[in-house]
Amino acid sequence: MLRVESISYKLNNRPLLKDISFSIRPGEMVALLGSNGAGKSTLMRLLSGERKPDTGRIMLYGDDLAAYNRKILATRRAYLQQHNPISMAFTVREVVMMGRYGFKSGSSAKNDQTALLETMELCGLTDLADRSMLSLSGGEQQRVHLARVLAQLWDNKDAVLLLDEPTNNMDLQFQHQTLAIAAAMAKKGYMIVVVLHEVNLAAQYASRIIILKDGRKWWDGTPVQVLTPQHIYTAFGIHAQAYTDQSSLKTVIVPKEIKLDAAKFNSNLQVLHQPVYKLKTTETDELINLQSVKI
Amino acid sequence: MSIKKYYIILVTLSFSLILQQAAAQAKRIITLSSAISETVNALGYGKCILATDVTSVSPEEINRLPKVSRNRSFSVESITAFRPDLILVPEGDFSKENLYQFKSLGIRVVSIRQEFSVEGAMKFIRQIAAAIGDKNRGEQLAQKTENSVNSTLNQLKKGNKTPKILFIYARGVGTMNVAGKGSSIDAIIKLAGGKNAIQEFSDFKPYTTEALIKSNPDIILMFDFGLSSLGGREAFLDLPGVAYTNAGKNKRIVEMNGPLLINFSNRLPEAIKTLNNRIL
Amino acid sequence: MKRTVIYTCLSTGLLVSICFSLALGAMRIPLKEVIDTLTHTVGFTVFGGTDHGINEGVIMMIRLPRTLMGVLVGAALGISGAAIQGIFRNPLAEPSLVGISAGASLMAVLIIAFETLLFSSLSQVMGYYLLAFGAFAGAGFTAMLVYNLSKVNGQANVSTMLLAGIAINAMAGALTGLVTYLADEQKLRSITFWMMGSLGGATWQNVSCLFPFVLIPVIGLPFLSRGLNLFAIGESQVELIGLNPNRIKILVVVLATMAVGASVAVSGIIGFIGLLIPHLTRLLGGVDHRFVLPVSALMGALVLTLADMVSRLIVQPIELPIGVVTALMGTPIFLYILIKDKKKLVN
Repeated sequence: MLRVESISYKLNNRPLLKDISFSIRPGEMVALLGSNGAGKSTLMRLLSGERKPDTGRIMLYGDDLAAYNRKILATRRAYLQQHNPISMAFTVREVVMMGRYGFKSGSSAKNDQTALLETMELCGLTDLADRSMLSLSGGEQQRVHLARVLAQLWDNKDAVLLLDEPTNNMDLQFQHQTLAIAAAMAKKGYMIVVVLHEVNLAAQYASRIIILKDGRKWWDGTPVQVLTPQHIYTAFGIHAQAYTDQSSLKTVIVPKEIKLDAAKFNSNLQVLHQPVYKLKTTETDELINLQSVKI
Repeated sequence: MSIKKYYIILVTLSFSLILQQAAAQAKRIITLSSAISETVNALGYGKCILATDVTSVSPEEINRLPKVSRNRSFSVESITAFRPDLILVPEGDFSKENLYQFKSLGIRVVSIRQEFSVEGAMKFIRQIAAAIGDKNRGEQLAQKTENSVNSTLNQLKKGNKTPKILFIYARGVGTMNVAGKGSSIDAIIKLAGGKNAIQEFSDFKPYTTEALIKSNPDIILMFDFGLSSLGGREAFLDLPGVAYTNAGKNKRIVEMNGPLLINFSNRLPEAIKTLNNRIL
Repeated sequence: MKRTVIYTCLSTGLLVSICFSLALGAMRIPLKEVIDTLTHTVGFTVFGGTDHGINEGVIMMIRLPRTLMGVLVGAALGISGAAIQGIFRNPLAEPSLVGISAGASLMAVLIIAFETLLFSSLSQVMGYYLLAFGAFAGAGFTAMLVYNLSKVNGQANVSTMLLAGIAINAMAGALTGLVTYLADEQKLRSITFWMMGSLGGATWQNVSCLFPFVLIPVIGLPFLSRGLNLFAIGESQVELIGLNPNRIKILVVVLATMAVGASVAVSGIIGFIGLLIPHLTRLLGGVDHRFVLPVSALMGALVLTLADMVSRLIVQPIELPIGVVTALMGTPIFLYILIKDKKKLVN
């Protein structure tokens, strides 16, 4: 299991994380939510070992992350970053295979092949296997990197998988496919930590939600416990209603539409007889989208 | 020991001595500077020269020879292709690698250092003659040159005052250098009865307009190809700063044949005489 | 399969071009004599005659060391170009472009200028080793400098890298010029030698000194291929996948600059080989370093052998600086990469 023991982290004297503690048991899929700058990505960086906490420690199966052997840790933890720039024309197959580089070559060649073929199939990459990464769209590239981190942990169900905004650039189908894969693996014992922006995706797939605000952990619990209109307003500054979907018994969040008068924020539009346009927020657009699929 | 045997030994010995003498005398020579080429030619071995560097342009029969080196860039194999038995090269033009390469091919290389003085010129001639294996002719040529230099120096024209001379080495407007103390040009100017306008530094340094005006020469001296590379006499007089010097005001631009001016060997008397005539 | 074909073709090509390089030159030497001389040296006789005098000398003392130097320097520049591009995560990171070669040549020039002052008792061979190590140090130092300068938020930024390269090239070029100008000119080879390169100074001594400096990287670098592949997806991922990024980085820089430094010390700066060769290699068979590194070494050796033949034969009896030939071949490729990848490279 993964235990975070009161970690804090400062950058240039600005506290980014303050005294955060929680633990994750095998089989849990935890979604980290919070507004921009709440500390989600920083927390992921600490969990991935990219940065070290100033105080506190992170324990994986009883051992401090900082004291782990690099090779062993690589079989127990993988991290899909938000941005994965690539400048050389590696093929999709080569990049997925990189997830297996930590393993001794030769001895596990068969496992490597299994992991490669199964993860590529799962992420819809089989037909793209020999394409150059540079010729793929952002969403396709993101799927390749997902397959890579999956391949890294393919034969160890005790592992923890860190996903920082994995749905970036992905189309609707693969947003759901990605989280469904993560949830399914969690059911078999994997520990998943995923940063998401879309609360409804978190509500649908995560077994547990942690909301961060200003570098602190504010709420931690099941989606039903955490995703209340008050919490959402406190965390995101937006009014919303929370329903329980009757067929799936999952929480659905419907943010309230924000109405604006352009003449109030653009002085150029304050002419009397000019018609006034109303802006819809993108959140509402997404919600409509979502509902049309769901209901 | 019978008399007969004695004679046989004597004849063999003298024969081998003659052969050795013949072997020591270079027959296939490559000369890699104009002064060296001219000197070898003056020693009467012009016909033995197989190839030269690009600066060896006089006399005409030397100019017609293949050129195997340009600005000290050459190929060891191209030179070897002429199958020379002697390469005469200014000291420092061959790297230690090149020297090693020729040595391992069994080709004799003699590096010759040139000193810019009358004694230096005589030494230069003797060194080259020794390298070729004909010290006698070297001695003759050195003697002849020395006498000629002495009589030339005695007959030099003398002006009221010693003219200040600035030498500009030009290969186009972008690359202009002036001659300082201790350079070949400095020496020839002194011998010809002038005074080098630059006394602040030695060797050749890049030309600047301000240095030109500050030195205020009475005469500006250039190689003939240098002046033409700047577009001729008129174009040169129009260059910034030239008009502020005495030389510019009086339009006293003197051009001289390059190889002659820096020969410092058999043609030294001719060089002194020509320059003296033009500056006084 | 495809890769086997590539290896076979390149090895054959290299052998053939070595033979041509030994057979062609300003001296007309019949092929028969060339073969005779070579076979005689290794201990048996084919055509009978063995004593060819100066021809044998030209083959054994001029052409053979020179050809071997071309092979070694080409392999060194090819493989280290590919490795440095891997570490910088950028196909434009080339030793001569980012200033690594200039750093090496500056150190070499300084050592030559102060050699007699500091180490008066050095033998010729020791002198070559000193020169090679010095150039290696200069190359390593500039490589680390450019790497750290070009890193923005943990990512190597290509424009900063190229700008740093321009600055270092200008600085090292100016200092090299200054030293060749101030020091007594006879001892230093001309500035053209350092800026344009030449294989004309090849002797058995400097070739045998160069040999270990090239052999070790050519054997060692391919062992770091997987690590270099991971660098393409980010330094932090190297660690996460279980390899040591710092060790890989240091080893790659040490091995690559070792090869570049020693090459520069004996042959001056021969530009664009490190850019041209890895690029061609990737076009042939993909970007996996397990393929790119060894093939770049092979192809570098092949191309430089050919380039040297051009430089020797095209303006006979004088020779063209080999850097002119490689720049003529390399700059169009450089521009091609720039135009093709304009958008991707800027980000």
